[in-house]
Amino acid sequence: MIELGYYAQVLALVFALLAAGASIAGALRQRGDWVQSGERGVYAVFALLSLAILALEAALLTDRFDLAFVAQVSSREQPWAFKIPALWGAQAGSLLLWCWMLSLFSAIAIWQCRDRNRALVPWVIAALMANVAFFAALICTVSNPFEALAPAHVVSNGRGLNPLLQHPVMLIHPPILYTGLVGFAVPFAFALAALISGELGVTWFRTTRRWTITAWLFLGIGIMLGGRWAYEVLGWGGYWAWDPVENASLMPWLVGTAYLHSTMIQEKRGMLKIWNLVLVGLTYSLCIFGTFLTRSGLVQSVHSFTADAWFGYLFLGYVLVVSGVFFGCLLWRVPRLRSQQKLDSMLSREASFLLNNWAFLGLCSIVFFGTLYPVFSEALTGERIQIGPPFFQRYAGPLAILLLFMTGVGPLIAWRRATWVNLRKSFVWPAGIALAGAGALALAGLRDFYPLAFLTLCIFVTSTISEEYGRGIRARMRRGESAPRAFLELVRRNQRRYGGYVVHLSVVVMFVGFAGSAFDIEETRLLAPGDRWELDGYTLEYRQARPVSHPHYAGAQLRIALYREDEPVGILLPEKRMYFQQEQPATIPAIASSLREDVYVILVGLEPDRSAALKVYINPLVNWIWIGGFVFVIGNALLLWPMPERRVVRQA
Amino acid sequence: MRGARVTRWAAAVALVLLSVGVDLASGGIARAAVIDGRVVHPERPEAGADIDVRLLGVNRAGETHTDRTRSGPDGRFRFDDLPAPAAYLIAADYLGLSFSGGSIVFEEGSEGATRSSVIHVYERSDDAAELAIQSLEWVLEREAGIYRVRMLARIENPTLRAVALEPDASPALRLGLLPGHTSLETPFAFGNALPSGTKLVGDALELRGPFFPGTRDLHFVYDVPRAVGPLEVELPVPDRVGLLDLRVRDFGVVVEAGLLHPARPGRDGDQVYLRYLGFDLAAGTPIPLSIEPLPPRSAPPRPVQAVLVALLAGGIMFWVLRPLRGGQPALLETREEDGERAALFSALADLEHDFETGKLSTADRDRLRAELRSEALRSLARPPASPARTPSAGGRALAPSAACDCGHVLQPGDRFCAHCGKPL
Repeated sequence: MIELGYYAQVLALVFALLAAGASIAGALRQRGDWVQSGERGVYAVFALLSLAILALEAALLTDRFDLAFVAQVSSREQPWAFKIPALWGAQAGSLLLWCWMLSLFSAIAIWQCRDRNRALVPWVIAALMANVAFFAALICTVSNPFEALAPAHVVSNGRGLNPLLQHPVMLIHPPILYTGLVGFAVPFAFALAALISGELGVTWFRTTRRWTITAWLFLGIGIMLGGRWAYEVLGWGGYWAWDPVENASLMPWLVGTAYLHSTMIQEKRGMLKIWNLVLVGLTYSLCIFGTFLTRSGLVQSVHSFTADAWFGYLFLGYVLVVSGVFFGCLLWRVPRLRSQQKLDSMLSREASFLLNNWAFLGLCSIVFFGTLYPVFSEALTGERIQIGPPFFQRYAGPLAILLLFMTGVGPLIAWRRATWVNLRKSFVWPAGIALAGAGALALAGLRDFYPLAFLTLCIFVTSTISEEYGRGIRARMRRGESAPRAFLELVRRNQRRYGGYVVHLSVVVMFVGFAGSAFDIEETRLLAPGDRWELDGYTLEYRQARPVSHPHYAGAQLRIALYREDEPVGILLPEKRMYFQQEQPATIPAIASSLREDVYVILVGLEPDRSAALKVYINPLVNWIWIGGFVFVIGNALLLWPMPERRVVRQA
Repeated sequence: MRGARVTRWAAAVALVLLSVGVDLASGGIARAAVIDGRVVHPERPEAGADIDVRLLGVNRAGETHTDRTRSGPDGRFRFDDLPAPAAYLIAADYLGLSFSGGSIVFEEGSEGATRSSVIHVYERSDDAAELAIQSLEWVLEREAGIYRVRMLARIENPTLRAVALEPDASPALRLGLLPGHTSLETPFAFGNALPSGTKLVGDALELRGPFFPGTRDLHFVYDVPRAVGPLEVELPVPDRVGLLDLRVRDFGVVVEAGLLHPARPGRDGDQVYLRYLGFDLAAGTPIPLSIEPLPPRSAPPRPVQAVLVALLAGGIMFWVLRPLRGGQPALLETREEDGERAALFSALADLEHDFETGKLSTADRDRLRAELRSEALRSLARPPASPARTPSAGGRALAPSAACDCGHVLQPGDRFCAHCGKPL
């Protein structure tokens, strides 16, 4: 079966090209049978790539170290729970996973359209299968996970998965991130199909709305899990370093967020048709561009795949071709996309969404510019200049404030045209509560601009969301419904609106966490056993150091008792390890978590006399970011959950 | 042990000559080189005086030159008129032990040159308490049915004494050998000879010194005849070892090495060595070692694979191309009007919601609702979009005369059969 894996990849490439060709021919020559053949081709590609991925998993589980990929990411001693995710532990396997997910999403999308959107389907198949063909070509040629080692280089045991990746979060982080990145291929393909077929109404994005939300949700979860992994594993005290690989996933998420908002304007008002197509094209182009950044070595990153630059340039070429085709088609269709509607008033939800769109794009531009600044500076001056977090924080901060403000303002404004009287009525309470909150925070000693602004706006947005729910419930209660029933009916009948508010609430909760980072404390000290260290109301008592031995690593672990105001908080066990198979050191932080703050302790070094260099971070409010992540998932689940009324309508 | 007792002088000089490639084949030996130096005692400077210093030289022709002198009051010594080019070893005898001053080479064209040497001498001690096996490297290779074991032990003497025990004394340290071993060999290289007090007793190599301050590497090789099949032994650790580095040449094996840590495989040229590490192993630590050759991999023969792939490809191709044989029903086209009408319906619903939640005044609501209703009426009044571009089965566009399964003739734009109600 393992031997079949490679041939399955090759056949997948062949059938992807066949499906794309048959669909295009079917669309051009009005042949439904050819299109159906193309559809079957999509299912066949999915089946073949599933066979390939199963073969590679079988190779990993049965220790087939004659395959270069398996020898690179697995070892006999590796627990099977980490042999399975080793699939995405290196370039070739991750590309196969990407390709397989694309084929899976293609198959689902085409199956969903088996009795609708028939004019779009051939071009959707062509777009998706062209994408699959690119990745299949890569894994069949330059990055083949089934490539056998030369007999002289065959080893009986592999090097094992990078120990930093042997973490529970890493079992799910890459597939979740890929679900987001690959998932945007479906809306992109429908948009391209709409452009080519001329079906330029709302169908393409109404059909893919759930795909867009799902991809956006998974990309968001993936970004957060990446942050959580960095926080727990990398041992540098933070969760976001504005690293190119992190930025690579953030950029499409930002543009995707803008797209999710602007489609509502097209749906409600028939406006922004071109703009929406630009956004969906840009989102998917940025998804692939991120892959290019991760795999090209163009910019330095702590956790990118090591690859030759030329490999990355394949991706760059691919990005250029994909975006070139898309935006070329868009230019061709511009005359047919001009909006019949006009913005009725700047005091309208449409206008606020438009402003929010520009803010998201501005933020994405800053991230893009900052990420590629080393490349630009090298091209212009010959010197590679890295710019770090201060740049991003300086320029992204004001836009983040604007976005948070718009998160509160948008829901309170009516579609088409709002009046000052209504606005005043809507804003008086949230603004009053926010100002009172700001005053209280200032009195409590908070003087820094950003945290004060963030927390004030968090209060404001929470007030607006509460007011929205309150008004909606009261409106339904006026019809004679009880409060709980009114709440349920409100959400059921206005799923997107009120699910969206929960997502907004998650942003608020996350911003509470971001605001806390302004008060982070970081200190390093050398302690001897028995020493006590007073820091910001905490006392750390270094009790002992002991060696740690494990089949795969050895190191030292410190036992530190933590007290707050002389009350015991817990025992912290920071570690320093050396992984033998990878010859790689690792720092395992110890974290005492609470809703108020984290005490994050790192063992920097241990001297022969057992004195230890410790670095301690106190990260206020950081856990609200992860709580915000949970709320984000709940909000999106609310958006995506099939409501009974909708099912009834469909059955009817 | 006889193999281990290759004379140090001969081996060393031969190696020196081989390594430096001194070419004396042309014959004539100039007698102009000079070696001067000093005997140094780290604790008692006066002890460097009146020490017997010996010199042994050899040229490529195999002609040897020996000389000896005694160090002066300040520990200095000098050998004049030495033949060159040639290679020399220098040693000093102190308290019955020979302290090496290293090797000196006069290359071609260096006649008349002067080279210097410093010989460190130490007090002799029979206290071996501080000697330790700093590291012990086991390298196992399988060749022609036997296992060849190469061992490199690094002995550390942290004191400023030369530790040397009497031949009948208890050994200072012991190195374990695999059971069934053959006699030992020392690789033919300078400094590889085992210390003079070394004795092989059973499966242990007893070390009695001399061990000079610092570290000394002991390198030796032996064979373990083994029939085909797995090797199951216990690595002997008769004395504490700081770092045990086990390397098994990878010839397709599964290695189990007890408590040793699997480490990154090492590479030496084309050879790969599986590595296992142990730290601070106490004397007597049991380290079971199992080396089991992997069974030959059973992959289907290439022709079988080719047939399987051809069948797979053929089967899928047949299934994918089957619609081209006809018989698939026609499909409906995209209906953009539905989207437009749904959007208008949604906008009306939102308008009502905004009004109910107080975002719109009654006047605004009425005005906007009137606008939306007129838009909706216009949309309803528009004729359905043409289905002409819809791909259909067998290349036939959906014609006005297309019929439902029940036989009822369908009209363009029909979503349900007007006769039987079947969704289209």
